[in-house]
Amino acid sequence: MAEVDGSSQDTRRRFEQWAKNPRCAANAASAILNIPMIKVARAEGVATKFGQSPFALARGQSFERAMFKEDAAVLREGLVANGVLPAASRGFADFRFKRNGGPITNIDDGLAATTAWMKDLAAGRFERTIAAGATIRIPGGVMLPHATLCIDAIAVVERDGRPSIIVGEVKVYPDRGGYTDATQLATSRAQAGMYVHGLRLAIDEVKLGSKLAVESTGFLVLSRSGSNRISIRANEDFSGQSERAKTGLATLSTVAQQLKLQTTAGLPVIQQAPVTYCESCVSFCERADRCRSEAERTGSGALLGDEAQRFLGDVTLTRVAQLAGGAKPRDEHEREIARLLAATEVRDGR
Amino acid sequence: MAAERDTALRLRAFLVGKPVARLEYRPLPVVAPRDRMLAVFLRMGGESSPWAIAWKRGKSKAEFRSVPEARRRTDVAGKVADFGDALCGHFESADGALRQLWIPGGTHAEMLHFIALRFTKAKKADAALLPRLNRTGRRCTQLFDSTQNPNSALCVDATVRLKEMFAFPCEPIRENHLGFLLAWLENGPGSARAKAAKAAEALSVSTSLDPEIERSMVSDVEGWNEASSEAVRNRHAERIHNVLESELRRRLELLETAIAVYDDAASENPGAQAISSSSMQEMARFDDSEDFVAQTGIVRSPETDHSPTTAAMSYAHKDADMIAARAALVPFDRSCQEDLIAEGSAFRGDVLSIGPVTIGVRTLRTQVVVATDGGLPLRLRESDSVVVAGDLSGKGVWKITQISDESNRAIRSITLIAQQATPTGPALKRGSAGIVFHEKLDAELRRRLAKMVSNTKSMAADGMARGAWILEKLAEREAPDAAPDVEQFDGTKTKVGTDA
Amino acid sequence: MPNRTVSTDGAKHRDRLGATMTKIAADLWATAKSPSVTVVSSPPGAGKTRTLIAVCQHAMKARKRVGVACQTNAQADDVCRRLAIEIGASRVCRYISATGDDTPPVAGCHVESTANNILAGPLVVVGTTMKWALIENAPDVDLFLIDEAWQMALASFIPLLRFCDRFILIGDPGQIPPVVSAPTERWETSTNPPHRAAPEVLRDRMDVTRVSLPATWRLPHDTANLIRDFYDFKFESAAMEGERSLRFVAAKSDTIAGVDKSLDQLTRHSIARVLVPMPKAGGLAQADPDVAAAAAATVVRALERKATATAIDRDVANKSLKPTDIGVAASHRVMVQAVLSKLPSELRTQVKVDTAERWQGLERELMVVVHPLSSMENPGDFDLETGRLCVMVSRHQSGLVVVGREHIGDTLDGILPVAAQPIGQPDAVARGLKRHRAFWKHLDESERGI
Repeated sequence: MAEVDGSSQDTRRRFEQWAKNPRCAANAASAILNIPMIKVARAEGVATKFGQSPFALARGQSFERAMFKEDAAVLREGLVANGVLPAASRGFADFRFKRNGGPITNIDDGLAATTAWMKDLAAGRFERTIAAGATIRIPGGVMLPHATLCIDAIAVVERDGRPSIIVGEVKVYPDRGGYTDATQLATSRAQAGMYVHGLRLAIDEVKLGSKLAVESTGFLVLSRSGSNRISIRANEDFSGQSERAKTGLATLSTVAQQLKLQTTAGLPVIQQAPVTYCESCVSFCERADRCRSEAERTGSGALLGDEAQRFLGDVTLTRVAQLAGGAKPRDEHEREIARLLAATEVRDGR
Repeated sequence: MAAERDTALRLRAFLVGKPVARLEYRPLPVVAPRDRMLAVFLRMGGESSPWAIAWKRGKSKAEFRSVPEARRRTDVAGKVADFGDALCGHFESADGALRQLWIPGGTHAEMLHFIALRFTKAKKADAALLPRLNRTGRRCTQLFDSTQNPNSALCVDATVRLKEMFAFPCEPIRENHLGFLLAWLENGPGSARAKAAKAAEALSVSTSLDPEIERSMVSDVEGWNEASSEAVRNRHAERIHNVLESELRRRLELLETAIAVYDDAASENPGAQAISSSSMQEMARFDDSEDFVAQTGIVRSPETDHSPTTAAMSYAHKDADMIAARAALVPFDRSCQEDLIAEGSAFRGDVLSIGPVTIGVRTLRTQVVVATDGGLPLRLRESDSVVVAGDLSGKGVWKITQISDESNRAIRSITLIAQQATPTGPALKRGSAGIVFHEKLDAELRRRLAKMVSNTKSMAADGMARGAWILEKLAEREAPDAAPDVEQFDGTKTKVGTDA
Repeated sequence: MPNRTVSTDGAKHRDRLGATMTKIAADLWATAKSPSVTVVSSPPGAGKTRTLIAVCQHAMKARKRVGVACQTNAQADDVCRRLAIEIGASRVCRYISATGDDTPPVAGCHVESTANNILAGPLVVVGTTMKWALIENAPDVDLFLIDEAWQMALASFIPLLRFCDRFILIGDPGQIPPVVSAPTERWETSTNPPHRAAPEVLRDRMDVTRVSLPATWRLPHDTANLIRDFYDFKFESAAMEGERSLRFVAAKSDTIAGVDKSLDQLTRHSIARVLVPMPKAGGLAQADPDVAAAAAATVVRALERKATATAIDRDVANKSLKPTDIGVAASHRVMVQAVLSKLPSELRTQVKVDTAERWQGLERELMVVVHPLSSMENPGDFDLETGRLCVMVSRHQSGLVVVGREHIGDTLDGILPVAAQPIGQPDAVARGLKRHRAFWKHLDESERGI
């Protein structure tokens, strides 16, 4: 949520773009080369809409500001009430950029300030137990020379005499209990997982790993319906997602090597890369229509969704039409398809 | 529905180039226009309360309400209260008839829940406004719950109902767009429908506005906030309202079309009468609960139930509702029976033999042996109880005593024994073909479970439940519900910027 | 020849386990002398019902009455039969519904549908959970035992609180959770979620006595080590290393995809693998004919090579395996059908081939399992759920062969799990993925002799 600068937003966005359809080489190339698919789509003459809601962006900023003002009073109250921080916790480390209401003017300052704070923690100085916008750098990334992350919120507690960092992810969408949007939750956890993984790497990089721990459980900060108040959900399990970030970045690195992409490679590389269309493409890729047309041409079951693709395997829709027309099934699988089709009676479809 | 059957229906739709019916009959009653209310919502990006609301009761003209600045909470609350008055009035003036609220799709159901969460337990607001808001919240809790309940016809999500009625030749993810679905359901060749559906998809029908539209409104919203005079403010407000009304109108029109399409899709399942009845009972229960609220101040939470007995009762009733809806519809609709067969909760077979059998010492019952397709899934096991599809009483129970497969597994023979001396349901005889037996859909068992949980609670309160101490332990440390207040906009004029 | 040293150590090991089990039953009875809730976690084949019966024996000695709730009528009948052996049929009452079958599950066992008609005095009354939950009046009992407790939701447990103030819930937390058909979003953030397994909620919400059974008596030594990752408590095998073995007549030639090689592997380990190469052309589908053929071929070859099982711990020596001693499990019905179609017709009614759900509670000397992710290059959450895998790999007494396409390792490595679970719930998909990966890694290492 604290989209402080392009590179931090890009890192996560590109990773998640790739993760949405890792089997598509064009998608991988776009993420690795940092050429947004919208550019590729426009170059191919696709009319695209762009951008997020301007009001949503403003809301995010005002929500965050309200939470962190006066030494993060609102956030602290919530974290104490939910058992994340002890009642006696104090201090706020504000690493947010100026445009978000903080004191930091550039990435390097942010990195330096965050590192200094972590060293304080490692040395047992717990003066500041909440941090906003902590900036870290993941060494040796695949998509940039190094990937920079800005972490929405961090709480620090003492466990067995050692400082322990608890990652939080801040989102504006409302907490609706069990009805809270699952896709939004998945996105939030994915981001938090990346932070957990990134923090561990960054801490190791400055050789503080034996003195400073990062917990695998963290917290989500959501909004309350129709209100500016926050809702904190503690004890969220980020371990799987931090593992996802770790293996995902490693996999992406391997993919990049296999694709042998030059950093100077441009749009044509993406345009020429093979595509693999799947259902999720509809929700995130501006070239989805083009790839769908390709899937239509080849008769891929993906036209009817992931479940249909899984079921059909390499049986094309053309073959399905033949089976429906009475063609002899070649094997058990085709017999099953024919049987299921026969069981669906055609009624008065409109 | 089993995933494979869904895939097969989707394939069928693809092959014919148009949606195909999933069901033989329409499972839900569509009430007359005078008993219908339509509602659509819009929200500002990032917000979870309405920026604008439109509603239409019966054949009256549609009402449109909006606020120029959706982040001014008291202004929004005022409009929600207006909507709530109309909504509550619609149901309270039912006069013995079933009343319905129709909404276009899932994000509008979500808005009902937002309203419920926000206002049901709000405690601080203008004295005249607060009771209207609380009442609106409670009603929205009921109606949101209704959208999740197939045994309820009170609040109808048009998108969900059209998806239930038809299989579309596309990816499931696209089916959440009402305009997309309606375009496919228009007449014409498949290619024209596909093209129309694609065009329809480009226009939002959710509660969110297209970001381009929002961007075009930024200057008016900021202008309204910064206006130095009433006249200037009013001009901005009018422009904002015009845009919002236009968007609301489009959604309302789609909703009206959807209702007509759904109503026309098929005849009403005769079993839908049971759903109407249960919905009427739901309306009556709500009225009783309003009395309870007035007396005790205890309100049903829009989020969850923490009390172990309340949660258990509520869950048992929900389970019962799922079963009751099926029990009402399955006897009449062969497609519903096919769904059960695909799930393994039913089988179709031919009667190989039928005759008396002695149970125990001298009890005579009817035994039947049925030959079924051995290749189909079967979750039912020996000792399970089934009924013959079409047995409207649901009381003609047969118990499976043996399931055996032929050596080539093509045929599976199932032996059943009737549990009554004279089984109800369609008459069976040797050679009867294509008889469907399905799991006994007994909602009463779940309702009874809810009743026993209620008994447990009463007995515990009276000191008569030996395990009451366990209930007390479970009831400890329940998480409190938040009670948000209706607060003012904090006045921070956050500049609405462009996206990064 | 049986190794006498192994046998002596093995006997001591089992005596110790037996003593532990006896003590557990005694401790359970002791705890139950006052109002309490005890949750007993059991690995597969660990003697859940044996423990339940042992507690009943204590109760009978103390002249008390026990209520037993089982999840199905078949389970209730089975418990009655086993109780009758240990405590006498006259001390067993099968509590049935008003329209239930009144045939006694075992001669001499009482059968009643009305509480008032149940005999006074020390008795074990066995009924289904539904029966107990739905009755208005119940017979007096001093203790309530709930079998297969992880199959019972909290909502079904609450009505039992009318009748008793002390409960022992015993079950296997690794099994496939029961299907919940009603939407549960409303209660995902409840402090008392009614749809969740009763033992889990009780453990989370109050002080309960926690006990775990120490060993699986079904599974061989190395299998127990493997499936321990699926559980959050420790257990071992009652069989020591080397006490269970399978032998096959020497193969004259290899068959499909290394089937004979995998059978040879079973002479050294209790788990082996058959990897089917990827097809040269075309994609994969759920009903993979090559994998089905490999699974069927494994069964056929095991019989052709005259498989014999030895289990020193069970006093089994050179038992020739018959078709009814072999089973095949798969996640999906279509694969079940595919395997059946590849088996010779004479084997189809003798070798049980079924889905994981229908294998729960059953066992065979030799199991052949189609890996849940085989032929799934893009698995969904259903496929990653580990209850199914856990059930499938815990049915065998002597040997398990896992059959699947060779993409599985790469597929597992490539999965980027999505954490879309409701607020506050554990990340079951990631946990399942971790377990899948550990299992596959074990198979790799086992093949390499690590």
